[in-house]
Amino acid sequence: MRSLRLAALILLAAAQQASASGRLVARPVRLARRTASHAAQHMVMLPAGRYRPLYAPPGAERVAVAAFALDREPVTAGAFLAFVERHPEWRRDRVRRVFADARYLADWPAATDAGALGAQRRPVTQVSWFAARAYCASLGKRLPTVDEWEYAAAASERATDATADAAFRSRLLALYAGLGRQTAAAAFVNVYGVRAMHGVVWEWTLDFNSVVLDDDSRATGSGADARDRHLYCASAALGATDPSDYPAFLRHAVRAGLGARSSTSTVGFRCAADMVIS
Amino acid sequence: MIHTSRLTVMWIALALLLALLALATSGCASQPIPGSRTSERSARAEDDVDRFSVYELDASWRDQSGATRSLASFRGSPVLLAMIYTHCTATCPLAVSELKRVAALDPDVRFVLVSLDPARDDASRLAHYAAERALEPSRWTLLTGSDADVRDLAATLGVRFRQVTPDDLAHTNLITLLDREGRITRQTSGPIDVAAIAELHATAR
Repeated sequence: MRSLRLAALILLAAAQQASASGRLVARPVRLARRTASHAAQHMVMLPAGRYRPLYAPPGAERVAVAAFALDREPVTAGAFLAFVERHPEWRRDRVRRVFADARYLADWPAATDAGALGAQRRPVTQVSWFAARAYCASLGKRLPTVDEWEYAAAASERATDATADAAFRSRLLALYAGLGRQTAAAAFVNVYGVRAMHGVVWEWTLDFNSVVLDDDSRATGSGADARDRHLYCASAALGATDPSDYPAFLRHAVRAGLGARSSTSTVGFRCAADMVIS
Repeated sequence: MIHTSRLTVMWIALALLLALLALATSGCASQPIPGSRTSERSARAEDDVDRFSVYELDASWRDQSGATRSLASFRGSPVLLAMIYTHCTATCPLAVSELKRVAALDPDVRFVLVSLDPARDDASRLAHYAAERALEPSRWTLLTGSDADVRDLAATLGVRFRQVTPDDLAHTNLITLLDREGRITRQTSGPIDVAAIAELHATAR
């Protein structure tokens, strides 16, 4: 099993390296050695397990999450710059407007300039869901699902599921309150080896638009109104598996407030990947 | 004592939540907010900066006759688009009947129903659904596609959906009015404003 995982990681890293350098075929042997360490450096494998979503499907409090790989850290501005250079259709001056709003990468000094080195090491923000997804796809990866992201985020430094721990919850709330003021480097590494899941940036998920607060909103004027109304009043808490899990509500609220084109200064992302067995 | 601290945490959480929402909305302030008249105006003012067409999406669909279709093939006429699924018994029939009401009032607008449940809604199922409801093929197109294309379109339109049980989807019930270029003109989860469609016909002439 362990060797399978390692093989998967190597394959994934090879794909990553291939697309990064475009010269995979020329140096396969050297690459294999290099990419194993590259993968170990950038992604971790999370074992299959179960977690309790904020809104569980009827009849099951916990949902199963299959094993998957997740980036250790949020994608940096520097890494995103490299992507934009390889895929100019994602430059802020060339991107199709359906894929990103006007704030897309608007904080960069220029379309292919992500700023000084310090800025390049920080997690990239002001990227739309479409752009985040394209970045991951360019490396043979994908965005994590809400379930996967939450499953990984439930872990503290010592426990795989610390969500019921009151001290952990208070800590997350404090981290969220300071969002934007702490660096990824200073953020805690959880028991899986994943860093900065909380309080550095909010992160895109593949199915961020699966937040349905009301499946019958005909009575209200528009979808947006309905969303807001249900967020601001307490009805969103009805049916939650644990109404006292405030950090989970906050993350849920952020997802509910986003559109696929939204490029906001507080939202970044990291990539995930299936376990590839071949 | 325990009670007080819980309350405090709750208030902090609530304050945070409101602050976050403000952040999130300010983040997409340049996006037209569906259904709101003011945002429609501001979106027009920004015209070239942030107007987008749903027809820019690369997606390949299959219609109820089994033919391959792109959304861009509807370019040129106003379109009312809803995302539904044929096994839906709750809100989708209401949306379809509202669209049929408009069909009787406006002879030129076209109707597109895109399935949120492509696994079960194949072309023949869509054809059956259309026939059952007497949806004329010349005006009504029912589309099914890949999961990824469905998710893209839903994300673009602001339609939120989730599989609740193997048989049921929860989804926002949103009808979108697209102009001749595929730009979102108005969105509603209630009655459709027929005058807005007439306006689109008028401006194009």
